[in-house]
Amino acid sequence: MGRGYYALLHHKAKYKGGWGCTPVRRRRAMLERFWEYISRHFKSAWKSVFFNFKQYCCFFAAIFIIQMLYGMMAISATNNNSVAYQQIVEEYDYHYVIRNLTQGQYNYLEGYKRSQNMGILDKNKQLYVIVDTTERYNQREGKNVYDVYLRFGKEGADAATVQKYYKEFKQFYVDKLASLEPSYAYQDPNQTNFSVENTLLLDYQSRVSGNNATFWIITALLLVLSVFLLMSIYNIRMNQYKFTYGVYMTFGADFKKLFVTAFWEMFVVMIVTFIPSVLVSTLVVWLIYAPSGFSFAFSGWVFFKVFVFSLFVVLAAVFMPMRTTSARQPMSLIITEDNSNLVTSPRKSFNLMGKKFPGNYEMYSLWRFRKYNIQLLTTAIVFCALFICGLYLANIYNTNVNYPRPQFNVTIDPNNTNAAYDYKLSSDIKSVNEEFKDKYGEELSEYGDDFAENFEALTYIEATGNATPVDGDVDFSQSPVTEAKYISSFMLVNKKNIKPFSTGFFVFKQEDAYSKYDDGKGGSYKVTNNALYRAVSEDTSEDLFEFLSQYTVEGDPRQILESKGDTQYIIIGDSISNISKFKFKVGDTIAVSTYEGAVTAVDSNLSGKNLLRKQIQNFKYRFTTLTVCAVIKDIPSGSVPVYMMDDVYESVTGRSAVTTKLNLYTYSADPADSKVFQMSDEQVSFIEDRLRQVIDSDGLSKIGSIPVADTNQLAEKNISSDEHYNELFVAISVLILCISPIIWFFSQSLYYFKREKEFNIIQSMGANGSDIRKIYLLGGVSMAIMSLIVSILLSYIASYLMFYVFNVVVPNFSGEYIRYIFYMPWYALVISVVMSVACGFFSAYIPYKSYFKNRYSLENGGSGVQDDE
Amino acid sequence: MATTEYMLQTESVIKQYRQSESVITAVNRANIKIEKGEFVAIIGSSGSGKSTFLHICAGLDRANAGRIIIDGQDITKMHADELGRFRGEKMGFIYQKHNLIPQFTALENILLPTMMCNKPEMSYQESLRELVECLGLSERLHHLPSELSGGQCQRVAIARALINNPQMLFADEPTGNLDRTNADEVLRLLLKIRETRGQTLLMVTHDLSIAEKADRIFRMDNGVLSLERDYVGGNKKTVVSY
Repeated sequence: MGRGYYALLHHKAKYKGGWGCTPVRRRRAMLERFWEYISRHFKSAWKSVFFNFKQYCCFFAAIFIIQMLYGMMAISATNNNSVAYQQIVEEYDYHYVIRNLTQGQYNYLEGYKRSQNMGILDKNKQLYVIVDTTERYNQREGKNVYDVYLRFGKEGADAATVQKYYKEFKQFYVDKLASLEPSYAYQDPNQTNFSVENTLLLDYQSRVSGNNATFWIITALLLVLSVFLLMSIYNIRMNQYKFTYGVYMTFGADFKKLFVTAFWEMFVVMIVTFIPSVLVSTLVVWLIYAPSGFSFAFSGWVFFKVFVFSLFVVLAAVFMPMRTTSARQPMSLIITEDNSNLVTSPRKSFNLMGKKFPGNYEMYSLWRFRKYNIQLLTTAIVFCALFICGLYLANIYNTNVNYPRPQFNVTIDPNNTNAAYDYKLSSDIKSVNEEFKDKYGEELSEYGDDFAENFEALTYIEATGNATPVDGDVDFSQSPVTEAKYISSFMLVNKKNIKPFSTGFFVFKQEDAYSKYDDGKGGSYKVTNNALYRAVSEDTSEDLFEFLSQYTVEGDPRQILESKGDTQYIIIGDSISNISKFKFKVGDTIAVSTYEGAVTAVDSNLSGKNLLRKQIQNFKYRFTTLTVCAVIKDIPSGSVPVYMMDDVYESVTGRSAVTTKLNLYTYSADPADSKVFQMSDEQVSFIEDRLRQVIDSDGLSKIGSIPVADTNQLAEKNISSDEHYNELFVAISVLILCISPIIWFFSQSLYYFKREKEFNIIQSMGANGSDIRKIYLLGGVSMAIMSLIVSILLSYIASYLMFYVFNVVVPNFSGEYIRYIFYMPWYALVISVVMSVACGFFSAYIPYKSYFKNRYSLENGGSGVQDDE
Repeated sequence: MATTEYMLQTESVIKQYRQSESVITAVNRANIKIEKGEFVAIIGSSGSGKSTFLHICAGLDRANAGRIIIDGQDITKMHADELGRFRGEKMGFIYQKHNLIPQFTALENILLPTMMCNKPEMSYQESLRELVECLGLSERLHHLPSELSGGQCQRVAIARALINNPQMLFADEPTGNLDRTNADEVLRLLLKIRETRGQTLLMVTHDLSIAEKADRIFRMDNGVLSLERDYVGGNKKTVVSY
């Protein structure tokens, strides 16, 4: 071979981007090959999809919905961060609050805004700005104290700078402030007497991180849901086209080939629906967020996110069906040409002789196709159930936003023997109400004289305490709240007071417990230690009665004060973990046990009901019989609350009933009242200020230091309501509901298409058009009836599942026992049922119309006349 | 002189298919008269229109023109419902590909026609026993078609066509999908039962050895039907193989 050959070889290699060419050319050639690969597959898939457009219609709809679901989530996540930021900026222009500073400490802060005195910081850098200062007289100290509001960095500083300055401030200034006047921290040498609070403006970044984490969790959930949806539809297609795939495989198609073909087809669908779906979801989110009045936030990243998300969905959804199919023998696919893959083989034949046609015939067919029918019913109707779940979530979000939470927390130092929650503290706190009316009376009278006269800015005082040990910091001998299980105690409840099927939290068929207890009436009992004993003192009982008045109470709670001798009254809840378990009536009795020592030790590895059983067997108990004077019907609870007088409480628990915490509820915390009159931020600040002064002045006499913490409820509530999760969940639920008809019609049209041959055969044996019509309609009606049952069943299961998760499971992690009632909105149920029934019927009716239309068309050799219609 | 009773009579049957702009004539003015109890075979090349003609005769398809009279009744004038009932009562049909209903067992497939029509004068139980015994299906009655061999499926199809004891049997290449041994066996059984019951049979076939068992043979060529050989009338022509 001469030089010419090598020259040619070199030229070809260069041209193809292979050996001998420059890196630039090689990259270019690679790109060209890549582009050619993409365009070849894309064109081929495009032709395939649009040539059989009818077959792919449901994929267009499904992928459009999937992209919309995710697009809405992505756009709303951006908007939620934006809304939260705008709300917070409106509310706060400071990051940090330092309260109760002395003159010296205040002067220090005022004089050393720059960090040069710390030696290591840039001396030109302004670490903080004092935005506002409140000066007030502290009666306990007998001097003025200052509340200082700080902003870190210059106005508009970015989040990273703010966080950096905040850390520097904490590192250098907070300790310095404490060291300035150690005598001021008189209770504890290590404890400063000023308090610090972060505002939402400072914590905005962590809120964004939290929102982002939630967004990615929702993304993962949506990914699973979307893959499930698309895979369900693809499986329907695979099931009906097994014969075709069997033929493909006979002629050499392997997994790669099948997967690549399927993927490109779905990719084409995805590309076509991509832009319209993002635009429509933007419009929907805009419509949801527009009423807030905040500027609408849209990021170009949404396009990228939706694209990547739907790409993942498409890849995952076609992967599994193709993997499963390619693993099968081609012949096993080919023999399913006759629909036999959808049939469940009978063990014995039915005797059809003389049976009524077509009624019996179609009933047998429904039974034979039971596997297909069950799959279809569950797959299609599960989306109706998800619709109900979405509405349930919306309702939960609403409840969560509007749930009354304490505006302020007051912590009473349990180590200070002078400090106590008593009548005086209670009346002093309530005196704030009169001061509020004096200041804002004019504004209140706009809502009527009665309203102004009865208005209470501070609505309820809730006494609470540490029910469980926390790292040994709490003095267990003092608490007005005790969880029964932590003192090896339990409650005996007469079986007639327990609702049917309430076995979850109870030990029963346990003779030992009540054989030890004798009420003299020979009752039959069940045992639970899911009880929360709460002490009621005569001194502060009015606060409790007021607090309970926000719930539905049966009986007279005040009767508890009449407890004497053998008749000790209790106020008791009717639910455990927010699920109603008891049917107490006024006058019923329960018994509570008090541990008096062990006969035999109990295995420390036991827990739950097993532990309780062993405790009952091995421990010695003393029993106290208590009479129900009032039942609280809807109080949020983990364990059932049992309110008893403090002397009984001390006798049962062995603890002194000292209140360590107070939760203060304001008017603004009550969603029902807020509809009439919305308390302003300034008014809430006024209450907070007055509370501090009252508590300070009380400290002069006997209490000591009681920090008051504003829980930022108002700002949180405003942000939450402007995040519009409620509306978003509703919109997403509606989209999910739309998936159901897609599955119905796609699956049923293929199913009936495959049964057309069967109808032709039976017609050749004497069945007429009217019989075939009856078969279609019978199928439709049967599916509609089954849909009715399944949709009601699944809707209730879904609803109860949500109820259980949010009432029993979630509180274990959040610690907050909000009572989400069992929610089955009739309109959602009606929509779900009507949708399922209509789909069940019409998914058979439409193929029936199409069958008769095609049968007589001239193109099919028919006469063109539908003579049996 | 006794009048001849025809079981099947066709007059100028035309069947055309329209494909885009062109019109294809599948059956062109076909005339045939088949006496009661007679066995007639139609031969012809693929696509000549013989199956279409058979389908039209059995009322499974509609002709564009012409008359089809079965047992004295013009089925072209019948309403679809009436035709359905008539078909169930008078006719039985055997397809080339068995066309059993996949979700039904062999027994249920056989009994299927009994759901469509009820002949109080006959005992279906007896008919079923006789057919199952004769066709050797007793061991396979509770199996789905997908669990049966081709020959067994075709025997089930024959039993299904005969369970109602129809007067007129139509068979569209009933042994076309079977091997020689199975084909011979199935045909033997079919003809045996037909003879016992005195049924009229119109069969479309490729197989000359089968056609030779017929009383008369017709040829279909491009939709035109002509008499090929008439053993009864002695008008014998040479059968060209194809």
